[in-house]
Amino acid sequence: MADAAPVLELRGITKRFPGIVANDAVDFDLRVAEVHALLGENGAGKSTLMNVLYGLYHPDEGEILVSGKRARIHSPREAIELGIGMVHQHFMLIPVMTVAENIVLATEPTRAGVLLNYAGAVERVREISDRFGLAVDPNARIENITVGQQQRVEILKALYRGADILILDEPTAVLTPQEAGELFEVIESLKSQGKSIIFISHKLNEVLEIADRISVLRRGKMVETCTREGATEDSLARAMVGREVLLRVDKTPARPAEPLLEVEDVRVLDDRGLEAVRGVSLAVRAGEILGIAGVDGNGQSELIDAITGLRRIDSGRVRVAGREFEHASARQMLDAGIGHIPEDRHRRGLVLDFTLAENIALHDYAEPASSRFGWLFPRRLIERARRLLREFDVRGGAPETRAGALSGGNQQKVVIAREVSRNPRVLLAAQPTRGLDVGAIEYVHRRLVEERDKGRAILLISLELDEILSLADRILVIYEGRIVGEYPPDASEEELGVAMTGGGRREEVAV
Amino acid sequence: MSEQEPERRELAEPDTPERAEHPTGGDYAPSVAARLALFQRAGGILTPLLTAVVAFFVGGLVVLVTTGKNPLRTYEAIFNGSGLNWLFPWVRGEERFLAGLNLQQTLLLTTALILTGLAVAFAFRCGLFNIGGQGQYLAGAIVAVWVGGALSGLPRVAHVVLAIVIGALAGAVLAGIAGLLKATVGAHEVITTIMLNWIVVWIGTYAFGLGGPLQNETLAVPISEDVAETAKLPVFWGDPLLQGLHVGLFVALAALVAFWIVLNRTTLGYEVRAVGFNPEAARYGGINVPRNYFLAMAISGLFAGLAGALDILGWQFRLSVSDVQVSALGFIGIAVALLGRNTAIGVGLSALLFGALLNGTSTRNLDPEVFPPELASNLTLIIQGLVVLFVGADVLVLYLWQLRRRLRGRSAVPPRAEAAT
Amino acid sequence: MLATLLALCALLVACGGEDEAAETAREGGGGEAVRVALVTDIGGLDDKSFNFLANQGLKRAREELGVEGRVLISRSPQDYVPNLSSAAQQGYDLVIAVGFLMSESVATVAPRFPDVDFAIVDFPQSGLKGKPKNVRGLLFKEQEAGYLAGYLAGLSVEDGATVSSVGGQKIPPVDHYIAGYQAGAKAANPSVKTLNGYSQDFVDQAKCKEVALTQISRGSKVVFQVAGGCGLGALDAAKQRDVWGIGVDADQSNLGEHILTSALKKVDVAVFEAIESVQGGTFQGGADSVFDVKSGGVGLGKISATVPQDVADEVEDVERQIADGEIANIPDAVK
Repeated sequence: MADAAPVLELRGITKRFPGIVANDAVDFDLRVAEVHALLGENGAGKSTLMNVLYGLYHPDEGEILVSGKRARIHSPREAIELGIGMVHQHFMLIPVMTVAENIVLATEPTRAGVLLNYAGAVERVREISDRFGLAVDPNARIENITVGQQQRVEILKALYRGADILILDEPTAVLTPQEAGELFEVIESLKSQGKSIIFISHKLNEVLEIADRISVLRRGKMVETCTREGATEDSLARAMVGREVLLRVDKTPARPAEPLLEVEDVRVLDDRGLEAVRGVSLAVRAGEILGIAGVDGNGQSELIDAITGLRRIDSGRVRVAGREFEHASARQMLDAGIGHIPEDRHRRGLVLDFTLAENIALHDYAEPASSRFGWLFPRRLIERARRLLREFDVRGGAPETRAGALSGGNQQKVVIAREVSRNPRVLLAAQPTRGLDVGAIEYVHRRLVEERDKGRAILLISLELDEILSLADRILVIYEGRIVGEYPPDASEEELGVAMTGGGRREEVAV
Repeated sequence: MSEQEPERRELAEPDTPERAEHPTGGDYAPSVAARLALFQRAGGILTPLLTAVVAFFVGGLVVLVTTGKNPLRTYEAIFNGSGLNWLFPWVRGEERFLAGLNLQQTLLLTTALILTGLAVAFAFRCGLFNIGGQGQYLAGAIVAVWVGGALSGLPRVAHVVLAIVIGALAGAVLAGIAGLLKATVGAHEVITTIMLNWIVVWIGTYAFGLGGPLQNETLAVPISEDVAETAKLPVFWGDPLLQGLHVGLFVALAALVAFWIVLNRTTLGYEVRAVGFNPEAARYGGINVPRNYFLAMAISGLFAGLAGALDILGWQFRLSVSDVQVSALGFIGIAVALLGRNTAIGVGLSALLFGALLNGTSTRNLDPEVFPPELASNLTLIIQGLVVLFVGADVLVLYLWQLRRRLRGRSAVPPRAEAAT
Repeated sequence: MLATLLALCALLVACGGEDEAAETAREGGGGEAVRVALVTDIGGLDDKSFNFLANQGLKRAREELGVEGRVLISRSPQDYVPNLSSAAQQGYDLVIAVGFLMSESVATVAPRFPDVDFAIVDFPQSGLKGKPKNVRGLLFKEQEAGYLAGYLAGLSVEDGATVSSVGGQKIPPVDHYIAGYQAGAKAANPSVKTLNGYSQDFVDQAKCKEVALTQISRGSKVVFQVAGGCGLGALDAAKQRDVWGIGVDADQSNLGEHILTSALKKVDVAVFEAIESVQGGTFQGGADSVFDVKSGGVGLGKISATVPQDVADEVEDVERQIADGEIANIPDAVK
């Protein structure tokens, strides 16, 4: 394979934005029938490089060769004509149209009469999907198929337009582990039929699983290109971050004390009025991390909302440090000493249009330190924010910076800074590392352990089994709104995995 | 598990912005307001200026095509008609006097438009689209004409202040109803404010109509009683009898300042903005979102009601059924707020622009030989419509702007708008 | 400014020198044309009603009397005072305010310009605050036109039938028509029943159509519209349901064969006569001109050809009786 001629070559690509060099003399090549992974942290320049290749940006320097010939790509259309197809992280499909319509309509509008030949289009789509093992019903509407299937439609769209080079931008970010497995099979099938694939990711394990070669970008520079055989998770992480990274969390055994959060037989309805949490009881003690593992949609979100007062509890009780709450408001729970790192920092954790200072004041803008008689003191907010940003090592923003302008990792640090600085007794961490890269994950994990050691009760809810296993001192598994088992931190992934999917039920946990 | 001490300050966090997705707070469907807010955020001061320029340019084309006259001369006539040439020191004598008269009329309009613009803008900052500025304006006007006419015998200052305050409160109550409905049962404010508009129109039609409770007693026409002398606002520029400029202008300017202070220097404003940007995050932060919906609407209504009261007490002094039915200042307020980006300064400037435009295109200010009266009245509407259209098409303007840069071969693309993760 | 204006006027007059404008001498004016400003109310020029007719009168005066005329359109109540006062300031000899909506503004502005003549359509001078001496009211006895229309309607239907009217708003000029109409119908045939409704609008045709359709479904055989542009919808309803329609203000017989007649209110005549009196130096403020059947200021438009000649003759006879004062005290208020 090493001898195969490159189907694509990028030479010395440099792309500058005001104040930043997003790509700095980057070289990259792709061989025929190869999966070449492009690895890097958020903001390392992966997407910029691919947008240059796809004609969305114009490089300030450097050249692109397709099949050995110099190519000038000024728009996605020209990229498509050169056989380059891109599957974006956010799909560009029309929900109310069928799979076949979406695929066919994506072609150049100059090809008149496609709509008349719908049957032919369906036939052609079916043919391509059979050839590459991309099973999807051409007549199904986009809005009725799963995310994984929608991604296949995007791939089919690219293939339909005659792509030989496929760029997959963070393709697994939206997929369940099972769907990710299916995607890898598709990629293998594409490869075996001579397609070349650029696989963009920041997840080490999947890169090692699927890629033939791996290139690592760091701060706009290509720091390493190696074959899969020569790489390990540690070596790749080091290349990405530029230093040794602790992939495992370093912590001492917990010394649990009195229970600070007690949940008793809580039942909660979801938005549709169906019971999502069906009698959950649990207790989190000071100085321990209780992890709740489970597949997405088994009542975790509703449970968090119930504890934090964001959703009405149908029945049951919540006690914080011995005080009992019934139908408490979010404000009451905050005042009772609950800190909450929400699972979606964009939807809930941050007001992206607020400055960092304003975001940090989100819970206590009305308290005497920030305001008096309804009069706000912005300077005090800024001073406090400046102190916290330094303390929590938030980079890329001053107190006056808009939160939306920060990278995901730094946004999450702002959230953590806010929640931890309120000195809560109980800290709910819901998917605290979702969408973060290696370096940021390490930081968040270390910080959670530190907070545990300060005597807080930490309830960790995560869909990543790895995270639960490396952080939790005790593990509960939630399935269909019920706690189906308690496990020690050294439980095996298999054991937990079975419980998470409803099998191997242990006795109900009495707390 | 490694025993190594983690390096604390060596995190390689790059500083490139993450794609800023617009928050569409979960339980709350992205409202019209939220979508417009997205457009509005994109362009800074440049786009509203471009918007206005493009609107005027196209308006000029319309002049050229329909009349064959030089659009620049037309605009000069409109400019002079607005009285803004009063600001030029070289305009002297009789011309200056006339410019002064025109500027007084322009500023009268500006006064009302600032306030109806703020009524839209304040709600907007809370993520609400207040279409009910018209109804709230009328509520203020109806109540002010009633208080101003009925309670004669009060001392002057007390009477004026009372009429203004009660008029403004009437607007607040009306908008508050829509806010309350939104807060309690989730009724969409666009629907409820439109319906409330009609309720006020018909209340006014009934009240001032022949035989209605507020119809005047001396004339057999559907007009209210006149406001008492004690309730009239003092005129500080121009002839008080010939509709000079009253002190309400300063009230409107003060309202602009108050708008800014409330939003940026109070906890209430903090809450309103948080709810406007991301209601779900506000809820998570412990903010009572429904309460803010109610308060933001009520405060919006306060502004609009104030506009109605000032118009009545400042120059109109009476209200007829047809005034109630044809008045449109509340609706123009929507365009004012949109063009003004829902900021204090922006609303002030765009209110002046719309006031100048409305007054400058009045038939009394345009030479009928150059500009037939039928066309003059429609030109304003055309330019108004174009401005609203182009405000909505901000993205288009932005796109053209970037295309121009791209064609020039410059590489700067604002990363916030396009840079991906 | 005034100087420039005068210069401009002189220029305009000089340019228009070859037409008869210059020849028509104003009393003591020495070759200078009379200048007339017409200020519309918020209905605008194309209201198909009095603003429109007033402009017709001004146009006729320009052509026949050679006066110089200008129209100022009011788009909002805020325009009334500035329009009236700027016209007065710019040296117009006669300023005509169209519509009772401007009564307060005329009362405010007129006393400030005692040298300028003012006229107001549809409002009595005596009703103006301060009763300014330089204002003349131009009034119409709409009830006489309404009476004639009602009389014809009463003759055109069977015993016990229903005739109806659609008013724009409950305002005096509208109610004058309707009161006369109802009285006329009863006079022609005491067994006739009457219906009346208001659309609360002078523009939106749909609203009047709705009111008219309701009346027709309740048995109305003749629909009289008194709602300007809105009323065209009422006439449309009459056409659809195959009953008679009666137009208002202007002659609307051109709308089709279903138009029985039109009740005319000749605002154009009133405006023309006011201008003529200024030119002739006979204009007198402080009083009203009342236009009625006798003076030809109100009356009936073209009567449908399908109406039998004897019926038309009978209506003509009633018209003569009104003119002669044999029929008097026609009611002008709707009960």
